[in-house]
Parts: sequence; structure tokens; C-alpha cells
Amino acid sequence: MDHNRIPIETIVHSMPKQKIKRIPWRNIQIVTMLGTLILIAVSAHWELGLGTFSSFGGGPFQIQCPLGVAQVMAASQEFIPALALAGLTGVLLTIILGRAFCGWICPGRWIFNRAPRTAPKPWATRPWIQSGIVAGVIGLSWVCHNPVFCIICPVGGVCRGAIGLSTGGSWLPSVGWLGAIIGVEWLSRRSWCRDLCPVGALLSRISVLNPFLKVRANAAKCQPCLACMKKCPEGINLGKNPDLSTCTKCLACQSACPRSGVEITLWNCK
Amino acid sequence: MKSLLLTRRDFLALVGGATALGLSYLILQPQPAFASVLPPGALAPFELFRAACLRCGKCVAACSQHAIRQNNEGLPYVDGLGGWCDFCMKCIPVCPTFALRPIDPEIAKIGIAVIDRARCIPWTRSGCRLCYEKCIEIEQAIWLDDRQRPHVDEARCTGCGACVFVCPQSSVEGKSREFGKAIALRAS
Repeated sequence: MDHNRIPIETIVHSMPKQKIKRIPWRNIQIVTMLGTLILIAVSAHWELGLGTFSSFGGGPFQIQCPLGVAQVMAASQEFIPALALAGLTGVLLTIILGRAFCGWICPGRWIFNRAPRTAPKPWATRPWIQSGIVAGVIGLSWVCHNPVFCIICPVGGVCRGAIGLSTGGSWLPSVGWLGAIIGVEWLSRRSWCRDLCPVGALLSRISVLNPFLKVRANAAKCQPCLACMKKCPEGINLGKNPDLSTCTKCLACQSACPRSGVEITLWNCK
Repeated sequence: MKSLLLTRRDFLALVGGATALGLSYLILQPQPAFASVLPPGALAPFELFRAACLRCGKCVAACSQHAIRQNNEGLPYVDGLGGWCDFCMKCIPVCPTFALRPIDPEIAKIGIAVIDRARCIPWTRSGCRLCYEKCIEIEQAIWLDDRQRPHVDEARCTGCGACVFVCPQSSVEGKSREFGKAIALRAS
């Protein structure tokens, strides 16, 4: 009889806690990022010809940064078919993997990326602003006859530093440009990776087409606790039918969910 | 936390200020004249090359002589300080944007060596002929006059930078000057 009077919360709290086995995604991603950077430095030192993030691979098989391709072709005002093909490989890879580059390979994620709890909420018209950033960078390249963002690009800058370290050049300019971007992030009080990075903006616009490897809230387990949104560097709320085009596949939501209610779906062409 | 003399705001302002100072140094520092010598096969006017270059660093990584370096904005240049260009043409096929285009290595010419007579040892004192002996093996572009002083034959010089590489004059002394060593490369 007394059982009926015990509030349900007491029963839940007195239950033995289920031990959830979590995969340390963050550590795996740091190792992946450092591994690729070391690979680039080693390739430059022993002339393996792997290239950098701006242009990975050699010979007929190349993956190009799509933004770099667009900027160079706008700056030189010339259509280069082989370059366009390599850029399309990059676009294709983004369609398959989404913005996984941002979460798994880009070193900028660990350098800038102001924590989402201190940065203001993402702009409501983010897709439009991102398209505007991309168009602005390409237009400026056209006007200046110079791939403007490639000069200050933190991704390319880190690669230049790695190459400089391994071939006897200087790494100081890279540090200077990285410092400049930290300054921009601080002055604007926005997260560089989420709101400002043109490469990330272009990849998110392409990722609209990405159907593979998406996170999803398990409807049976999900309660609107917003733990995933607080941890997500892009501010995605999984419980609320989210737009996953900006998802960087960092899987911080899975690590953060107290009910282990975040699933990874292999194929989800919603 | 009150015992901290430096608040977070001050710290960030310091970091920002130091960064601004460093950047202005990067932009305003004296650029040596040899920084404009581009790798072989570079697109002809410099503006065209600057537009086509992706700053990816593949040519730097491909150069087995470590002759190519990147400047502050990522453009490659040859200065002969880290190594000299032997026109192996490995940098040309790796260029993803065709900013470097195939040329005949026999007629390739990337720059011209210029002697700083105020700092060159045989021009001021006497004795050294390292650049002459190095160039004898390659292009025979450096010749000695009757007082054993080197001269550069501009018609023969390809700008490979081997003379710069072997020049024993310190590159530290001339850092604020136009020349690092007593011989340097200039765009032809």
C-alpha cells in the first residue's frame, strides 16, 4: 500500500545507475588530426608527394579544397579543367562524409572554436550568411586577382608551417596568421568554425546533400534536456528535428547524452 | 581568483596586441629583393602567377634540394639560402593549379645573380673564389677578371642560386640590407 505513495522520482533515483560505455571520440579525433599533420610533414621531408589539405594526393588522383579551386579560378579568370575535376573530388567527398573534415582533420577546430556556451547563438539566417561569406571570398578573389582567403587560411597556414618545419623554412608566418584569426574571433565574439570560416561555410552548404553517417536522437530515449545542444560546437538541438547540414560529425552529442540516446545512422536521406 | 593581477580581459587584450604587433611586423618588415625569384616555369607576369598560386606548398615539399621556400603570404620563392635549383622540374608536375607550367630545363631561367661588391671578399680584400668554382661545374656564368674578382655573365646566368648557397659571407650581417650574402638572386 505504501508503494503507491512513493513518488516516481525516488524510485528512479534509487535504481542502480546503468554504466554507459562511451567511445572517446574526442581523443580519437585529436589523434587523427595530429596523425594527418605528421603525415604531411613526413611526406614533405621524404618527398612522398602527398601534398597538403589544400591539395591532397598526387598524379591523376587529387582531392582539392573546393574553395581554393573556386578562388584560384576566379583570381586567374581562367577555367582549368583538371583543377575543376580535382575540386569536384573534394565536393564528392563532402557529399559522402559531410563536414567530417572540420571535426576530424582540420587543426583549426582545436585552435579556435570558441566554446558554444560563451559565444552567442548562431545567426538565425545562417545558411544565407554562409553563402554570402563564400560568395564574398570568391568575389574578392576575382576583384583582387589574388586568392585572398588562401593567404590567411588557417588550414593552409598550419600545413605551410608543417612543411616549413620539415624542410627548413619558417613557421613563424603561420603562427602570425593563426594569431590574427584568434584576434578576429575574439573581437567578433563569434565562433570561427561555426559562424565565420569560409571553408566551413562552403562545406556546410555542400553537406545539405549528404545522406550518410548522420546522428539522430532515439525518440524512445530522448528527453528535451538540451545536453547535446550545449555540447555541440555548431549548436544543433537533436531533439527538435534539426538541420544537420552544419554537423561536423564530431559526435560530441553522443558523448554528452545522459541517456545514450544518440544513434549514428549509416543512411538517412531525409 | 581575486588575487590574480591579470584579468582575463587584460590577458586577451595583451594577446591581441602582441598578435597585432607581430602581424604588422610580418607585413612591414623589409622584404629582400630575392624574394621575387619564382620557381622554374612560373606563369610569366608576377600578377598572373600570384593569382594562380594556391599557396598549397606542394612545390616546396617536392623540391629535393630544399631550394623553394614560402614567404609570409605563402608564395614560393627561390633564394639559394637553403639549397639551389638544379632544374630537376619536380615542382612543375605537382602544381595543382598549373601556376608552374612545363618548360625546357635547358633554356629555363628564373633570375640573375647580383654581386654586392661592398661585401664580396675578392672585391674588398682578396682570396675567395667559391662562387666561381661552383659555377664552373654548372653554367660557367661567373668569370674572374685580371684581379681575380668575380663578375656575372647575365646572358649565361640561370639564377639557380648555387653561388648564393656556397657564398661564405654571413647572412646575419646583411639581414636589414638588400643582400643577405655577398651574392643574391634577383628576378630577371
